[in-house]
Amino acid sequence: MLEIRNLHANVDGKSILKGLNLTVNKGEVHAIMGPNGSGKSTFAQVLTGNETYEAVGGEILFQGNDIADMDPEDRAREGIFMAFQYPVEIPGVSCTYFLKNALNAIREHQGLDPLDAMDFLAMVREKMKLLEIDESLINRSVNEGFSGGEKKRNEIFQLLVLNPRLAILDETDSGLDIDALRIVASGVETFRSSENAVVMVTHYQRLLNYIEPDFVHVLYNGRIVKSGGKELALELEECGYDDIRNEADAAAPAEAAV
Amino acid sequence: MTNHDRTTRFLDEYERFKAVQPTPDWLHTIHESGMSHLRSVGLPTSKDEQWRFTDIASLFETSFRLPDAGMDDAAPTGDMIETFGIPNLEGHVLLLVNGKLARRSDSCDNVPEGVEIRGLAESVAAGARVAGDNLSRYARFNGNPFVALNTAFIADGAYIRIPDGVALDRPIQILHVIAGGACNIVSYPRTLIVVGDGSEVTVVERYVTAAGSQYFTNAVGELTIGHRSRVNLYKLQQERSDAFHIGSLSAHVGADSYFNSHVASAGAALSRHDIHVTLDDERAECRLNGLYLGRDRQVVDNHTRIDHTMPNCNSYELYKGILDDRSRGVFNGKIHVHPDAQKTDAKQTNRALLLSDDARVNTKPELEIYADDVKCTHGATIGQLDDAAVFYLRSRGISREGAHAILTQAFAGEAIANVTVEPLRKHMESVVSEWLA
Ligand SMILES: Nc1ncnc2c1ncn2[C@@H]1O[C@H](COP(=O)(O)OP(=O)(O)OP(=O)(O)O)[C@@H](O)[C@H]1O
Ligand SMILES: [Mg+2]
Repeated sequence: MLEIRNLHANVDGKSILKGLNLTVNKGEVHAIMGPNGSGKSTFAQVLTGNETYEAVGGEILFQGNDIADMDPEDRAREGIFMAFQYPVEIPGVSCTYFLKNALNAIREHQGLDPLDAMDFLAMVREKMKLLEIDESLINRSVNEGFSGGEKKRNEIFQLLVLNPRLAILDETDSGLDIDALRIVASGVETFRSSENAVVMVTHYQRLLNYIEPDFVHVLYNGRIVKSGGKELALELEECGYDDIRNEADAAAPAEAAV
Repeated sequence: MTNHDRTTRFLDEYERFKAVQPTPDWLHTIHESGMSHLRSVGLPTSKDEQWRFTDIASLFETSFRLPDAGMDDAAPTGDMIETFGIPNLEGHVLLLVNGKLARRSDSCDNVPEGVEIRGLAESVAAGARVAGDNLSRYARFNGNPFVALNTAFIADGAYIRIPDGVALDRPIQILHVIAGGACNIVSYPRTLIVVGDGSEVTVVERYVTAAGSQYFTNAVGELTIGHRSRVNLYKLQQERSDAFHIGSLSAHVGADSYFNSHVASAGAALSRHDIHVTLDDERAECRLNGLYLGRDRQVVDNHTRIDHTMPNCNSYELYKGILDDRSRGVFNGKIHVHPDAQKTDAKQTNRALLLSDDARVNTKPELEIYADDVKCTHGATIGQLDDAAVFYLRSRGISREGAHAILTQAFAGEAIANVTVEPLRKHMESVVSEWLA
């Protein structure tokens, strides 16, 4: 589904991703961990097509096509979805209006008729219930005045409504209380199927107890420096990133100085 | 061109106007007061502080003439109410064509005792005292020679009187339609609204074009509100894109009364709207909302002035502008707190959204405060669409254009949200979405 080869990306002319490789197949769940500032969000943003992040080398193949030059809306319509680490507040635009526009843009791309107001509302209600979101939220402006946890939950709610092929979750677990974490995780589990894939960025093993990953990767200094099964996350929880840092820095001393 | 050269051509029209217009003495005196003010100060140039950012030179490139007597009769008025009325807005309608009353809806006569919804000329002809006592009493020439110009040419317009203790449940629409021919016409519509104590009324003034050549509208409104009353006044300026529109409103608000104004400007090549509100007595409150849209080389200027003259009065002001292409916006908001006006609460906000690199806005708050126990704040922001928000929408599948439209509409929405008359709010929303399309 997703194949990333030797991806290099810059922000403001500064090199952040420095040769990242990753392959994600249908039905898989990948966890990406790594120290602060290592480039995890940059990776997520580059995948989604944020123009602030400039892909300067390598390939991003999604379902066999190189999407490096694709607009973000076209990627979304093809089925790429990112749950933002910091969801954006949009005053004056109601959640309903926003989601309906988004869903119908995607449906149009898929050759489907737009959902009428009744069907849309019914569908949205069902997903809200699943995520235990208060119905009043949907009439409010997108993320405006939402608590940190509500914002994260709203991202997963959108994931369920838009039902993409690839979901990239950037620290969706941060800032959630214990109950919310369980609810959000069960939302992701609902989404998960043999036809789609999940890449989740997280700092904590806790989320992985709920959503069991097939692979765990460590992103450090713009590269995936270690990959393994779910036991890798446990190891990291115990020992931290020191060993990985040392190993990686020894392998690429020139980069370490940057 | 000096102030005086600019004025001369209007003076010539004045002679012609006086020759044909039969006028009672008191109105003649009013005309003369306007003309003599004009003769002494002339029309402004950009050297005048109040007109610094709005160059009206192009107004003088064309000779605008009063419409010929026969012209308005020829204009088809039958379905104009249908065509130009706000969709689904039930209420009373005054139709003015080229500044003159052309029709009143039948419902204008089906109103509570003492309510008058009429043409100004017919009220003058009928010798309506209230009209005579109030006309040109509130609209001062000070600093705005275009008020003097309109005053010199008062011939017709709208007259609304709401006596004490009447809450008019349906709004009044004043449709200002221009239907000219080959000749460039100028019209001087005058609106006078007199509201008594404990009353309530909503008035919508809409300026639109039916046909004709380039024209100039010089409108003046006067509003006086007694005690414990509520007045909503909406102005929709949707003149044709090559027109000139220079309008002003003077409002006096009495004790415990509330005045709510909305000004939406979308049309005209050059438009200017001045509002001067005087909070005359204790606990008076006003809320001024504005939305201005500019594109191509449009110039849209809003000047507001609020005088707090007595204690415990509040004023809230929110103007929002959206400027594209090479358009230009001006916002000047003056708040004058007089020495007696303790416990004043005044808040002014102007926000402008620039959709192109060549669009510009000049914004200037002016606070003059002569009382010590007051709360006055002002804020102005000028910005572009938020890139992070645009990306967020696009990342969900919405096109770039769609994202821009949604965010721009949302920006405008804040200035429309508190329009409580539903069909009117819908109409204003559609003005914005059509503008964006
Ligand atoms: N928009 C930006 N402008 C400037 N620098 C940026 C921008 N976005 C990211 N960076 C820089 O790129 C580097 C990687 O940031 P990124 O957000 O990808 O890290 P991360 O791995 O997601 O970290 P965290 O775990 O703290 O979320 C950091 O040094 C960061 O300061
Ligand atoms: Mg991050």
